[in-house]
Amino acid sequence: MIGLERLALLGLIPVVPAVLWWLERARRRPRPHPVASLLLWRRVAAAGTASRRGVPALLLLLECLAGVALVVAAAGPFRVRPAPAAPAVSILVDRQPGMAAPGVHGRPRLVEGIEAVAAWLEPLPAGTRVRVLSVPAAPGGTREFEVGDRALAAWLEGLGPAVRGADLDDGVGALASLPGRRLVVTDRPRPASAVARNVDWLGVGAPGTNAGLVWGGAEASAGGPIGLRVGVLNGGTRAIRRPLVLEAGSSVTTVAVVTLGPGEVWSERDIAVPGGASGEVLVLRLQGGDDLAADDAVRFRPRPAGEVALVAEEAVPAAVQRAVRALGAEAVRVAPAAVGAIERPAVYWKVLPRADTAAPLVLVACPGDWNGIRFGGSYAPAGLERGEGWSEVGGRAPYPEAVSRALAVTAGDDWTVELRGRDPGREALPVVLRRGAAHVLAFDPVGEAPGWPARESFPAFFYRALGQVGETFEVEGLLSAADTTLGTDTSRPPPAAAGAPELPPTETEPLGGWLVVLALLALLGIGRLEV
Amino acid sequence: MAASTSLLSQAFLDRLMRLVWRLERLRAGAGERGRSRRRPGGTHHFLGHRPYVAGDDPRQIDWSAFARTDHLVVKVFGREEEETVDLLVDATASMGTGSPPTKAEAVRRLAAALGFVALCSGHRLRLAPVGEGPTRLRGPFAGVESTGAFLREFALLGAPVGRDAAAGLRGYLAKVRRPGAVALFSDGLEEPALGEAIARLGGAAAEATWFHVLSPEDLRGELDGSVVLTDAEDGATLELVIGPAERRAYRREVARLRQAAQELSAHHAIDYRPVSSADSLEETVMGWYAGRARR
Repeated sequence: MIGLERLALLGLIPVVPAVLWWLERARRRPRPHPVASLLLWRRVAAAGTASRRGVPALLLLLECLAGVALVVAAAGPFRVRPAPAAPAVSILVDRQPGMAAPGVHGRPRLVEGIEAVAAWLEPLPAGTRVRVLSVPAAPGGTREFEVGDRALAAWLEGLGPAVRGADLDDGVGALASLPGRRLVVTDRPRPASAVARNVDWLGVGAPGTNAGLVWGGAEASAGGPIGLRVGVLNGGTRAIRRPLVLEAGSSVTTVAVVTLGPGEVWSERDIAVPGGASGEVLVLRLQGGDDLAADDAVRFRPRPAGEVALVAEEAVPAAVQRAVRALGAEAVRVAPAAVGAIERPAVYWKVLPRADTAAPLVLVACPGDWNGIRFGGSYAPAGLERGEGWSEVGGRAPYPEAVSRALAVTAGDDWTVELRGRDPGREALPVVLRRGAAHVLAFDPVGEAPGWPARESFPAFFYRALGQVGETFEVEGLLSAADTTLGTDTSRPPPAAAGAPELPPTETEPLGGWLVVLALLALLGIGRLEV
Repeated sequence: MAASTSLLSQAFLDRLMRLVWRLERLRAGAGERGRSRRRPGGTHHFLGHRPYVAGDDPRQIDWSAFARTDHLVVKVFGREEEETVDLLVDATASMGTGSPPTKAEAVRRLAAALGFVALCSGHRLRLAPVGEGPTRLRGPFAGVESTGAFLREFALLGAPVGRDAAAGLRGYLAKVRRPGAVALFSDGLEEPALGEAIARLGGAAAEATWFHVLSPEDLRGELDGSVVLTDAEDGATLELVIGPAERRAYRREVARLRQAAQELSAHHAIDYRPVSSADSLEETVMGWYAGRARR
């Protein structure tokens, strides 16, 4: 398919020949010119130019061709074509907590599985494309490498067992949808499903317990005690019995002994932290046992009360999480202000250096259906009137639409954006979007607005909630800083990666360069004819 | 600049002085010191005074004249075997073209400079514009003191409006049957009749030089597009579409014209000097003198 980025420029096409014809006509209108003598010019004329009689018309034609080619080139022509062949090989690595258990050779199953993957890849020709997925999804999501690429080995070796389970079947389903050879590395037995039959299955050890912390956090109120929340999921096939301890400084307190059957969840709220103080690092540890010797731990540091609220559990839309990772996370900030006026949204944005555009890139999403916000504002340096560039985002629109509409209104210079609820009179949340940066905004209606889905329906996820209303603050490194590390999985990827909507794979090939070459050739021809 | 190009200006006179001084230096370098300068008696005689210019030998200063006039002047001596030098200046309308100076302006300055050199060398000088049938000779001028009168004659020459340089040359030759030294200043842009007249001039004169003066416009033919060319002399027109190919053909014709003029000159013992009206006056005169010295 052929397309144009700036269709309006095509309006210049009829203008080009008209202007060139007019210029040529003006050029060919005889101008009087006195000379010392006609003696030499008569000899030139006598030599004759009959062979060049058709040259002016040809010149005009070439000039028109060059002009039209340049106009079309300026219009940004491109060709959309199917993307090159998909990776020849796709691999799904199971890195659920159970993969930390000893494998056949006594080493962690994940380690043995990665070694098996390396052996499986070895006979493949160098340069074969390899797509690697993991369950739960690793930071950076799905990655593509080539056989022989050192980055592939480094990436595989960097994989660690996750702190919580996920649905392997979803990952297998996503893998099965990919073309080429497919391999699953897991300690689970191959399911009987048709999907699983279509992929290679590389077993590493017998199925064991697969339990871990699935959420946790702390809350502190100004001057008050710190309260903990924790949830444990047994994703394995056997019952478990594990001690859950809290480490605060040198103090180790057993919070509970968790006993869970397969698939059961244990949770507790308002766990008091004896002697805990703001700023002190706390560790919640689910001790290993049964077949899974490894501990699973949450490490966090409650902020001093009054500075920032602590950890809470709620969902951040998977779409935003994927966007964050796709852009390469550096820092995610939480900056709420006057948030109560807009249904207490948690606003996340990520500031990224972007080499490909100077315009702020903004991704906006909110969980589930939402009543929307007004998104927009004025150019900060230009000081345009508030209200210019306003756009409605959200509403009942699904995430992708909200995201794309937000992108559309943010192309430009630095923006001072105000986020408002729809209802008039609600206070605004000013957010400065920096030029040359990408921003990811997520709105979480942790509120009581009727019609919203219950918070339990969101995928479990850890993030910072907002404790201060009417005060602006920032917290660096929500997803990457050590003090917010949760167990060994610092990314906390959503389990629904396989369900992410994907556009048909296509590639856009710009054609402007060819047209410029054509114009240059025409100009070359003009030069030759002129000579 | 304008002052230095006006024939009657002091600046132009200063230029001529410096030019003569350079020529004298050149002559001295060529071993002609004894002949060109001083000594009175022998083969040289006193021609007159000229103002002192920087670089003159202080021994040449006439101190008694300084005592009388308060002006530093040097004595000028010349050979006894003086000859008559005729300056033939093409006065046809084609010489009025070129921008600026026109060919006519450039030729007057060049002829004036050579005339001054001749006067300083003790020669007699005559001036004849050739553009019409009958040719009126002006002069003769002799001695450095006549420089002013000579230059005034140049200044009094009107705009070039003649249409037949060949007829002018023939008129000159009818009047002066055995010319001595002749310098012709012409663009030679006429049909073969001018060539024939120049050939006759070469045969008749004891020593002939043709300064073939063309303007940069004549030389380059820098025209483009559709033009109606008008001949400066007869007003004839020619419509042409000129492009790079035509310009190249024109330059070939210019080269042929000069080649033919050179061959004609060589055949009739004429010293041929192709000149552009944009050339430096000093360089042209020095070049001419160096070439003359070689011969």
